[in-house]
Amino acid sequence: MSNPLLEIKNLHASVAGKEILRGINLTINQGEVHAIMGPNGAGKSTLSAILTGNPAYEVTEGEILYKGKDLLAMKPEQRAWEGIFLSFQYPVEIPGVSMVNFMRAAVNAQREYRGLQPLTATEFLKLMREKRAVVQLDNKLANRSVNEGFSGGEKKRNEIFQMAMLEPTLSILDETDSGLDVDALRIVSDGVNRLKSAERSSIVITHYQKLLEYVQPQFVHIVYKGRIVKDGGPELGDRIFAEGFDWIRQEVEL
Amino acid sequence: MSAEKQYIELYNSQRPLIDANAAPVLNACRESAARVLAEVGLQKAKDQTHTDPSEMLAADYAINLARHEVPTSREDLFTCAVPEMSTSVHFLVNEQYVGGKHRDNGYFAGSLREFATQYPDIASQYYNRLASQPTDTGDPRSRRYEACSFGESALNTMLCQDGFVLYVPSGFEVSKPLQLISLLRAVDDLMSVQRLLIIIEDHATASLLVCEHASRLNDLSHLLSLQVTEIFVGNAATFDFYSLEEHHDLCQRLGQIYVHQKAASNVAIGLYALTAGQTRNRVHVCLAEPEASIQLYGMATLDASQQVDNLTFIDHQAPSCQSNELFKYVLDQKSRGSFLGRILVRKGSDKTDAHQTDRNLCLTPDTRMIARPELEIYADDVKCSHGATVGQLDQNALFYMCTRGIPESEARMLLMFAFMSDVIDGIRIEPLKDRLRHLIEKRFRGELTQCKGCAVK
Amino acid sequence: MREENKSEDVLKDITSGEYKYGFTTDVETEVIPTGLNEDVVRLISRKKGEPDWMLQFRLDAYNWWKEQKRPEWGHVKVEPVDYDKISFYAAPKKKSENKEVDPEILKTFDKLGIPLHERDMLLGNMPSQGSGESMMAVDAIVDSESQKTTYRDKLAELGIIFCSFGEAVREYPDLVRQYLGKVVPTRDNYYSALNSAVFSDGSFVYIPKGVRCPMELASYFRINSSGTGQFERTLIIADEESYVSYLEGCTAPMRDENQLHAAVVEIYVHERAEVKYSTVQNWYPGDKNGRGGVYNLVTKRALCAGDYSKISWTQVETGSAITWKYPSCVLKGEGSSGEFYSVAVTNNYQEADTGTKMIHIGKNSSSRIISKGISAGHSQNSYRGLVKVLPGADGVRNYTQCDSLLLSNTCGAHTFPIMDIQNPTAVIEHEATTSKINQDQLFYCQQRGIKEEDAVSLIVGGYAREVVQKLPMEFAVEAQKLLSLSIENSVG
Repeated sequence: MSNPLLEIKNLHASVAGKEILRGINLTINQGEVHAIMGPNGAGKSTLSAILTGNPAYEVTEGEILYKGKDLLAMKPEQRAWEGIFLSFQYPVEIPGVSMVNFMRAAVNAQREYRGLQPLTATEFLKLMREKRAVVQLDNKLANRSVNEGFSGGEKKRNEIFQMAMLEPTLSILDETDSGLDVDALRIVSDGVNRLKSAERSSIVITHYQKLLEYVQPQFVHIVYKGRIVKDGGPELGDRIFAEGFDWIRQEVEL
Repeated sequence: MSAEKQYIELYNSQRPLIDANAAPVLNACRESAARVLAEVGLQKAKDQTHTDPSEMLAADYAINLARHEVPTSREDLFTCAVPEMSTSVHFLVNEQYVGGKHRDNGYFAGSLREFATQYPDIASQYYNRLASQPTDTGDPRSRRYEACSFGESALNTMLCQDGFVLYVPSGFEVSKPLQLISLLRAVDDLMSVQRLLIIIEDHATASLLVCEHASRLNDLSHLLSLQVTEIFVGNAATFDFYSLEEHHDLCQRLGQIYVHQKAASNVAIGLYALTAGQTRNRVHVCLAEPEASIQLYGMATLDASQQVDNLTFIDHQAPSCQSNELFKYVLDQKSRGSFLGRILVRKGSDKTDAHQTDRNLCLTPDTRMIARPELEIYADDVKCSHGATVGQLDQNALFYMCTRGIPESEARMLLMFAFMSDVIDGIRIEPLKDRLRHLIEKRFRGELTQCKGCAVK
Repeated sequence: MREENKSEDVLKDITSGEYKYGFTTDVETEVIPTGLNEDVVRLISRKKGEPDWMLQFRLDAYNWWKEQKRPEWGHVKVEPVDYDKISFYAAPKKKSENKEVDPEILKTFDKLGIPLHERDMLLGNMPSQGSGESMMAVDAIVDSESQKTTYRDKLAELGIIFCSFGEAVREYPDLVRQYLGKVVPTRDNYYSALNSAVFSDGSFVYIPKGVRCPMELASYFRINSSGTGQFERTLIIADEESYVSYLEGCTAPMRDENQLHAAVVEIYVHERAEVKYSTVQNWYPGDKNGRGGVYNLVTKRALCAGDYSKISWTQVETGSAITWKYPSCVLKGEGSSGEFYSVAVTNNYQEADTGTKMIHIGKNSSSRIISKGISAGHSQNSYRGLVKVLPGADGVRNYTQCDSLLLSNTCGAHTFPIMDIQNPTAVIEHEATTSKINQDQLFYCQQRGIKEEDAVSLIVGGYAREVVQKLPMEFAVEAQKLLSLSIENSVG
């Protein structure tokens, strides 16, 4: 029996007056892993921005239900409390704000929303230690300012570390694999896989085969010119890696 | 008697003569200018610059109100250091337009007096519109930064009889750069009351190079050039204005450039002082409508007792405008320089992008450089920055070059030249860029002294 | 661990947005009649039992001041002060003859988190602090008089003098006479002259040769009475190879009137000595509509007279309706160094015009300026600075960075620096940026579930961190809290 977690219906969205999404329809049930693929500029990252409520993007039409609730009516932080997590394609640097303070503010805000007491300093540090091990994030990085001076790979691992801390219901990995070497990619994938469960779902946006091999999505969607033009299983991903997007383009243009 | 009174008295006694040798449009502005001058006076510079307009104007200069012809040979004029750059060359001797090559094919370039007589409607629409009104910055705390220049502008307006006009009507593109050779020349102390009026209408394009020269006929006569330049740039119009100064030590220049830009207009201003006596330039740019952009560059290579002050004010009055400022000085011997750059971003001017850089090299203990970059911001969605440095040549680089066998003097020259390169790269007229590189190199090599360098004797 | 507890406290405390120090203390106070004339100057001097030379110093200052015009420069709108309506001397009456401090006063300082008992010498309500308790000696000043100076005896064993200015005039007249007005001459400016004429109390510090002061010295200023001004005077002398870290904090009750605070701080630093001067300024800023608040018009200057001497100013300015202050460094000694670290926060209708002057006279002297302005509401926040290198000062280095952060579209952020360089061997760098809070950072925090207001507070804290971490630990905590409180409700 399927239990829809996320339902996107006829979603149109634009940024700076330019329409990027032109009618996306997508349903994600609990426990499913979906991959979204498509050429550059197809609208993949716009979709993740819309799901998380980035104010720079405007929804012009359509609706999104998350756990049956109107997602678009929620503020970004409320979506986070409801369990939506985005691993940013370009994680943001916040000078002067230590990872510890940043994460504690995030974790405790979520706990408050769920009616839980904030974690004590000791509990929190214990949690940090545990989760850091998941992505093998250096202790030193955790004490530095958020993403400041991190290498590309460190930033991505830091994203997965935060995901582990916040234990989201729906995680969106926006090209988390780009710029990672093979070892780092395995660490990141392991982190993602450990969080898999019957309740949790993921959306993986990627250009590369490797990550899909590790994470193994059940569903693959091809986004082209702001629409999902093809749905399929893992075999669709394989074909994209083998042949590229040209055949999709031709199919759509016809 | 204070300096302004001396000029007002001159004006009152010579009014018929002044009017007779000008044009009605110019004459119509004199009374109010005289009132402004009497009111604000020629204020003493209080803003930590080296030149002092009230002092510069205190001397008893002759003014050629009767418009006597100044004997000048064609040869004198054509030996400008930037030859062959333009097919349209115009000449001013002191303030007087003495002709030039101009084929009238859709735009006007020539005498202000003639323009004001022939096209009084257009002239009165623009003439003295920028130079007569102090800017209200909208905040009582804000100093009337530019107020002290209005006395000088009023003095110019009160006495102005001629100058140069460039009028480019809507949609017209002047494909080749225009060149204006402005020569100061007098046997006795003389003040030139010079006026430039530039009107670039909507979607029009033009560029103008002004070469400032001065004849040194003897070692006694002091020359003062009191200049007011008003530049109007229409919607989506493009205009480049470059001023190349090669004055000698007995010259003083009090220049005021007012720029008014409409929507999506694009302007480049470059002030290049190769040699100077005492120069004080004020540039007042008003970005009045959205998406206008200005590139304001300046450079000074100074030695002996030369002084150059550049005071700039960029007023962001509308959203989504851009300004980019770069000023560079190299100071040698006993020269003095100052740069005062103010950027004002008014309330509501969101998406403003305003950047300013001022870099200076001081080469000897007797130089003095004052840098005063200011940001005044009343909008929140802005990206503004300024940076200023004062220093000397990179000793490590110098040493490195010497170890490679480059003589120290050559190495210094190369580094100074490299220092100036970005301010030259900003020039959008290729032949001028090349020419200026050549001139700056000569300047640093000491081959461009004030007398030799100014090809005009 | 410690660091983290600190931030936890900070986060916990970002809940109540009002000015927390706005209460008044009900003590019997002696207030002299309002207005300023020569008799008032004489009266103040008499009340303080001063010697004749001190009175002459005051009269000289008064006579010059009354001829001067109120300065009008600066990017602030200061309403003219009616000196006839201010009382220039107010002091809580002592309860008994045995010089005991009024229990109400003790309670006040307790409430402010400044215990005046020598035993529990921790500043701030920080029960979670486990280790590293630092000692602090406090000089507590209410209105015109010092109430108590702690740890005097312990410090005296090392030859350190830490007492109220009034006591110093009586007990160490030679030292005071030698240094008073040497760094900030009476006629330096309008407000320094006013202060010199009517100054009430303040702190006096002398650190003898070769002594490192083992504890933080702190002065805590409180305006309590209405219709008064505070004119404190602080003089710090660091003799050769000595070191001291000095802190200053200030609060005032909420009042509808504009109260005047015109202080003078002079610091004299001898060869190889080092002084750190930290301020957390939290005078009453006025209400949401700009009514009331303290006019904070202050002259602070340090003279690095000796070779390799060092002065470091750190200030966190969150209070006052008007702030007009430029803690300056005269770098006279060879190789001397001056630092200025500042965070100035303005909200509602506050106006701050603050910065520093670095006057390089000595060879190889260096200076560093880090200024962070944060403007919110309808406030105006300006950095004003001067870096001057005189002809004989070879090898000078200066680095200046001043950044402004805008939190509303109705406030203003301005930068007015001057560099006046008269020596070619100087290397002077100045950078400034102005921008609004980074929207990407804000969204990133929100995506992680941090509320917008908390996210702003977090980002602003990070922005100010470089300066705040220069403060001694206890003040840093206080400063973090103040920052959060000051910008509260500023997100539109």
